Amino acid sequence: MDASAGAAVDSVHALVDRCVAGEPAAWRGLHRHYHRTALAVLRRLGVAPHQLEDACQEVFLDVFQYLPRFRHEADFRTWLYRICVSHARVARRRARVASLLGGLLTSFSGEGGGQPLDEESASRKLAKAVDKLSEAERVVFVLFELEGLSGKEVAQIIERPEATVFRRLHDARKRFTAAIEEGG
Amino acid sequence: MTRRESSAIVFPKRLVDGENRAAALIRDALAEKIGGPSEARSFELLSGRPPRQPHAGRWVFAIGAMAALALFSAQSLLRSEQSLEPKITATAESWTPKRALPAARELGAPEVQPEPAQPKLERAPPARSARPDPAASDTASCAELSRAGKYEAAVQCYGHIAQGSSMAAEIALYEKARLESRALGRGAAALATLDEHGRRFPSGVLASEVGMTRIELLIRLGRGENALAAIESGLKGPLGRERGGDLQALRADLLSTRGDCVGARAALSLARAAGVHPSRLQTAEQRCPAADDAANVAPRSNQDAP
Repeated sequence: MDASAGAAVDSVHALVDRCVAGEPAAWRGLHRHYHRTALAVLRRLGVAPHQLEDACQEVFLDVFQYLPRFRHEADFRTWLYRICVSHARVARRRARVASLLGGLLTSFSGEGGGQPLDEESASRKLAKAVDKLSEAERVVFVLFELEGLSGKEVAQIIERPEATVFRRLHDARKRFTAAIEEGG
Repeated sequence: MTRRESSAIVFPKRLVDGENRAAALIRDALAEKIGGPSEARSFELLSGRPPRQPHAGRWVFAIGAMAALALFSAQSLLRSEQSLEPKITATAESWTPKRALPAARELGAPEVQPEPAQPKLERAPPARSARPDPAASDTASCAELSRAGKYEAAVQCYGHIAQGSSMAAEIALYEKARLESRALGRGAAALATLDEHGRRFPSGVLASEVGMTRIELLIRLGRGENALAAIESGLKGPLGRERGGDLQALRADLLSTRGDCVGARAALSLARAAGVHPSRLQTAEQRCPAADDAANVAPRSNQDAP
C-alpha cells in the first residue's frame, strides 16, 4: 500500500472513530465522502432510479447504526460495499414482488424520481446487459469489473472463497459479452 | 486498502482494460454521471427521519410477499377460468420502507439486534401448479421465466420440453440441471438430472458440457473422491480429448486439497501444457510447491456486517 493510500485509510479510521464518539460533523463528513460511492454501486447493482434515494438512505442508516461495531479489521469501503450489496438485493426483490402486483414498478424507466437514463446511453445499455446476469454473478461482476475491487475484497464482501468469485466472474463475463453482442 | 491488491488468486485483466465492444461500453458507462439525489439533500432527508423501527421492514416485506402470493395465485385462478382481467389492488407506496434514522446521540447507546438486510426468502416460491403452462412450453418461454427469477416454473417448463428426444429436449434437460444447481441450490436433484442426461444422450451435443458440469457439481457437493473418479474416467474418453486441460486443472485442485502434491504437480504440468489459464491453477500451485503459503490463501473477514 503506498503512502497516499495509507494516509487515506488513516483519515477514514479517524473519521469513523469520530463518528463513533458521537461527533455530528464527522457523520456529515462520512456521508459526504461515501454518498456518491454508495449511490453508484447501488445503481450498478440494479437498483432502479426511483428506488435509489430510499436504498441509499437505508445503507447509511445501517452504517450509522452499526458503525460502533466496526472494528477496522476490514477496509471501511469493503464494509460499506457489503451493506450496499445487501440493500441492492432487497431493493431488487421488492421490485420483483411489486411487479407481480401489476407491474407498477418498472426496472429502469426512472419513473417517479432520480435521473432517467437516456434510451441510447451507455449506462442504459450496460444496465440491460448486466440485468442478464444472475444475482450472484451480478454482484461479482459489478464489484470487480465496474467498481474495480480486487478478488480478495469481493470474496470478503460476498463471504465466499476467491475461487468462487473467479468462477462467477468467468460465467458473468461470458453472459455479459454475449448480451453485448446480441444487443448490437 | 488499495484497489486490486495482490490476492491469492491472480484475476485476469478487467474487461474495461480491453479493446472490444464490451470494454468500450463499460468505459463510456463509467464516464457517465449516475443520477440520484444530491448529497446535501440526501443527508437532510436522512437526518429528518424519525427513529428506526426495528424489524418493521421485514414485517412489511413479509406481509407484502404474502399479499403478492395470494394475489398471484388468485390471478392464476382467474386466468385459468378466463372470466376476469386481473385487477391491481395495491400501489407502489405499499412497498416504501417506513424505517428511519436514529438521532446521532442515540448511536452510542446499545442498539437493537442487527436486522438482517437479506430476508430468508431467497427466491419467489413456487406459485404454479405442477402441470406446466402449455403456452410456456418452448425454450424461449422457459428462458424468459428463468430471467424473471421464476426458477421453479422454469424448471418445470424445461422438464416438460426435456420429455422428448430432440436436440431441444437435450438442451432443456441440461438447462434444467443448471437451474436446479445454480438457482435453486438443489445439488442432488441437479446431479440426478445430469445423470439422466448422460443416460439418454450419451453422444449428445452437450455431452462434454454435461460431463464437466457433473464433475464441478460433485466438487461443490463435497464429493471429491467421486469427482476424482469421474475425472479419471473422463480423461480416458471423449471428454478428456475435448476438455483435458480443464479436467487436469480440477484434478490438480482436488489432489492438492488432499495433500497429494506429486499427483497435483503432474496434473498442473499437464494443465499448463493444455493451455489452461494460469489463474485457474494458482490455488493448487500455492497449496503444493510451498506449503507455508497455503495459510495465506483467502483470509476471510469476520467483520460484522448487517
